[in-house]
Amino acid sequence: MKSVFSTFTKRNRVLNDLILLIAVLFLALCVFFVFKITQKNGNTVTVTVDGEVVSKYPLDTDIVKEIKTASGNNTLIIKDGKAFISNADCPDKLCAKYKPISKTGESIICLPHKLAVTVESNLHSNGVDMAA
Amino acid sequence: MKKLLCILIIIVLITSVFAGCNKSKKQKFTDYSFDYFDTVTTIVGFETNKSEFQAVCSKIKSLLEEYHKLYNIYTRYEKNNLVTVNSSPNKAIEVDEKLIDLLVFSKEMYNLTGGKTNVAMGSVLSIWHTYRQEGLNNLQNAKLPPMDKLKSASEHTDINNLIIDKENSTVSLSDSDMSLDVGAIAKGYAVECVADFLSKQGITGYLLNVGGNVRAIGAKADGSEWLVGIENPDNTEEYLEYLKIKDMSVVTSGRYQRYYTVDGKDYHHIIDPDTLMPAEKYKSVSVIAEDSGMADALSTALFLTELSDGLKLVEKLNVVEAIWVLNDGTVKSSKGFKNYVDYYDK
Repeated sequence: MKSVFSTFTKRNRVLNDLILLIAVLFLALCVFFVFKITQKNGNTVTVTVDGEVVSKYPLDTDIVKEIKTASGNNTLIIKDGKAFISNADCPDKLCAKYKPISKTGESIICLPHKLAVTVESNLHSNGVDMAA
Repeated sequence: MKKLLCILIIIVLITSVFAGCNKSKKQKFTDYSFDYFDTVTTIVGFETNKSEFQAVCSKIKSLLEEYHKLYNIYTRYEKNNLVTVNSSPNKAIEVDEKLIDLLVFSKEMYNLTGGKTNVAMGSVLSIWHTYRQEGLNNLQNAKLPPMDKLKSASEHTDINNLIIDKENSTVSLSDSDMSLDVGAIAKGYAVECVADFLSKQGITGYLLNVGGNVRAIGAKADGSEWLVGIENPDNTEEYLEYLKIKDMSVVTSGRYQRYYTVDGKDYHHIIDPDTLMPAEKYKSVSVIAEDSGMADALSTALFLTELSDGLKLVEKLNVVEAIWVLNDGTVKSSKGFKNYVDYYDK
């Protein structure tokens, strides 16, 4: 007995695989864009060195800060609600090439200095739980 | 067939990604009441539904009501309370164990703070209370209490004349001109007792605030710490600091809370036992401590203590931190205070 599948030609199978591939890619893209679009602007920039929180800055106040780590310095700039690293004395200077970040979860990493700059929104966005 | 299967798998994968984002099912509820300790009580808690939250609230409130009545110095209630004790000196008054516990704790705090928080100051504080009430009712004729009146009252503030008999559960005042005023300590102590009760019941994820005595019982439902803003005496729009706490208490003593005005000058309610006048060393002092009763007593004591001595006292104590706002607006804090601050490096 010949099943339905066995009637597929080789060419047909390739085509089907292609359709599936495109479908998966398309879905992945959709998911990616839905995440991007719904992602909210954060309000805080958290700086961690070697996993430890070193400082936090509000995203709505422009500042220029020299972040000193054990391995070197990075210059953090917050301007117009976006954060970026303008300068660093690390060997690769990749961190200074990141585009400015402003959305929750976005981050800039300086691997040689074990430095991470991350945008968060949990902080004070819903106000304090209580005043004392 | 195969294609369908693949699509199905993809759908399952995608939905499971979204399902992973689901947050804890507990919701945040808030309850206010105005019935206890002449101030606002706020209860914030995480529960799965409102009726569960309300059940816990009613437990909290019935406890607060009990403490409010026992620790009251102005109104008599069904049980013997501080009004009963104050109005019948030289007589052993049988009182509830909860009142005995408060007074024993008050004596401990007296020793800890070198006499700065003294519940036997009632005679002096009641004079200030009377003049303040009259001044608030009649703004044009607000007056300061005469110093000789305060001085003679201050001769009857010896805490050793407060006799506590734990075994028989009685209290007596051996000076007929003395009286007890637990205003600097009772709210915080009651809040601590409530927190203790909740913890023992296994209830967690609550934040209590009785007139500025803030106490966290556990963390929030998602395990994160509570965000508590410290009032800024210079700017009511902005908080002085943001603190992250769990299972801790934060209490602020400040001039802006209770005061009246005489000849254009404000006189607040925290009276220095040495000068018998409102203390003017700071604009406000906030204390972080595990025990809310201790935080309450310490915030008053630190408000009356020189900064260097206050810092020494705080450093000496375990898990206690403080922040002072000086008269010129400068802010000082104890060494470990920054460990609780959330938004530093502004």
